[in-house]
Amino acid sequence: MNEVRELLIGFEFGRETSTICYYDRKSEEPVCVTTKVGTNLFDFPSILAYVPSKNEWHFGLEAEYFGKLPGGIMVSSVYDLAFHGGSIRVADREMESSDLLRVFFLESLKLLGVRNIVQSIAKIVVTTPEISPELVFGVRRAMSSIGLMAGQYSIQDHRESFYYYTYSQRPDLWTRSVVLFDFRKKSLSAYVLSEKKEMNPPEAVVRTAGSVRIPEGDEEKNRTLLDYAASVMKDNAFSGVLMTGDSFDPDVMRPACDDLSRERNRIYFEDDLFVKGACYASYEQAERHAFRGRVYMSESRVRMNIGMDMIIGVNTVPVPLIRAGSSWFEASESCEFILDDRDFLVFTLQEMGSAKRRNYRMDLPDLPKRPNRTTRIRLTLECLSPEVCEIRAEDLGFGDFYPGSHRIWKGSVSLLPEAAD
Amino acid sequence: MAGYRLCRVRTAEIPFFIESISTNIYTIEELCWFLHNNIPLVDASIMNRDLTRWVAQGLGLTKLSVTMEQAIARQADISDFVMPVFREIGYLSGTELASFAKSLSEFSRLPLHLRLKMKGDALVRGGKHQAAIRAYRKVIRDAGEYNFRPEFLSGVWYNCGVAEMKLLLYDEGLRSFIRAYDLHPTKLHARACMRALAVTKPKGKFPEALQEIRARHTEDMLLSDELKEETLEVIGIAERGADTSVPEDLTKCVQSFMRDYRNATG
Repeated sequence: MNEVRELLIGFEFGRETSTICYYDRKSEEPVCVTTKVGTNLFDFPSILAYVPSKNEWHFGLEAEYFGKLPGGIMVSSVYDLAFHGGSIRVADREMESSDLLRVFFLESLKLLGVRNIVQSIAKIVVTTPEISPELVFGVRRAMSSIGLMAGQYSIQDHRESFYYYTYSQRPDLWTRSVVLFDFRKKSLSAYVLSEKKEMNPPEAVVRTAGSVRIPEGDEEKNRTLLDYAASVMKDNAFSGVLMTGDSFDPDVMRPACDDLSRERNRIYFEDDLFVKGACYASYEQAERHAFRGRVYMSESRVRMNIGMDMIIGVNTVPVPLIRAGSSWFEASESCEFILDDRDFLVFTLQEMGSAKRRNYRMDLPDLPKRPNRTTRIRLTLECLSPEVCEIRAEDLGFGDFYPGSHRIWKGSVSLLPEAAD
Repeated sequence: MAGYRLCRVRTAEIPFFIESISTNIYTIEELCWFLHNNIPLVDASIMNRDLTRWVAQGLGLTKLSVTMEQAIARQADISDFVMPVFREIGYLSGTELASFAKSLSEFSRLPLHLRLKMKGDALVRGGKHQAAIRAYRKVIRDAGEYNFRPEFLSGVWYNCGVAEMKLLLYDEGLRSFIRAYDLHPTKLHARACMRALAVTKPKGKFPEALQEIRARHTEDMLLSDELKEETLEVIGIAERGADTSVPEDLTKCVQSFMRDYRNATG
């Protein structure tokens, strides 16, 4: 590995296999980490094995071996447990999905070969085919128990990884819409990335097309791809076509690719596209910040900005708390402030791409009476879904002068746009 | 300017102990609030390297700490030490800051003994009665040398008496009130004297002690029989405990008295 500190990691956590890659700043591209030195073996099974007699955990290929030994316990449902939540009994202890995820990440990140994982990682982005709240909270708990801070990790689905991958390529790939064909074992699915340039800021969206079965014969495979591509690409103008997946064979699919490229589409094949997309996301979020001015939107994204006008120094300035375009499960903020001649809170809500603002007032009934500027409030905002944000305000008092009552006021804001008159 | 003042400076894990009011502070806002409301207490117990070290290490404000240290090193005015703290977070608005700077400058121009009395007053407000008595006594000690106006000195005696009574030092309190009354007979001083007499002297000796004071003030009638009756009535009500009730949690109540007493004598 060329990098040893401030690592930018992409981690594909799949149902069957997982892959890790890091961003190589010298070659300016993501590089996959091999599971065996000197080989091109990048994927490893998403499984764990526990050996009670030695109190040892193993992951991936080793887990396949140790799990089959007498006394070894194989845990092959790491992904499913994480996706749906719940717990599993391993030897004599009950393990939550987040506990298993912690072990899985901790063990598999050893592939990076660094001594102290927490100190070496600047950012890690985990990508999964789909996202569920249980998976998000499980990954969060696992990462934080490993010792990573909240800003050091994030999770995204394959669609978002595709977005990051695409916009990290040369601009001629994404001047128009981009389609990705994903060849998985026996099924073919497609993702279409397009940008709504008329919005302010421009919104990038990825829609998925229903998958089709990949037939057996070579000719049938080519025909299926062409038919599928025709149905997926009929409504947009495309500047790039990407192919990925284990079951894509360039030699077999050459006739179909030639046909597709005749339509002036550029065809690219990329192994491990999603993990590389996660790695680009890591680089973008931690260092590059080149995507500003464009926002990725999906049904899990918040469409409303929430802020407060606060006094900083001698000026009153709008302070953003929840930013439109962030994933609802990652949209949270906490801050502290002193009430100055106020016994209520006012939030400003602004829909994405609109200049219209509306206020949300939250009263603080039974707030202890104290001299002005001697009440410190801890404010926490947390989105419970893309539509609802929960607000918590806690009275911290004012040190030993006026001890806090620690009373908590709660409110919830609808993040849905107001109906038009 | 009404609104919400965003706290951007971290809360210290280890607090700074303000000795003059026996209070821990954890944030720069608390420091600002203390300085703003207790100008007379801003002295060497605050303007020192312990505070600047806490500002640097506890709050992480190294630059501010250096500015404050420089003010100490060149023995600058209080305002050079205090104002940068307010400017760091904009705790006061522009007009408030100007008004505070004016108060600071006016305070530093006041005569030493008036500043000392104000310090005593601030300590009484903060419940630090023992320290307040020390401040008042210092003014009283210097009275012979400086020839203070009776109105000022009687105020010092009176406030000293209040602090002594709060510490349950009744005899000392009575003496202070009598000195205040002797120097400047006013209704306030007369009432304080009368009540202190009623509390301190046994019933038989009360008229005798009162007569002794009256003898020195033949010209004013402030220590009247009417005031005496009123005082005895107040004391009687207190002794009968007519309006008092036993607190539900007696232990907590006693602990609260103990804490206040320790604080007042610390």
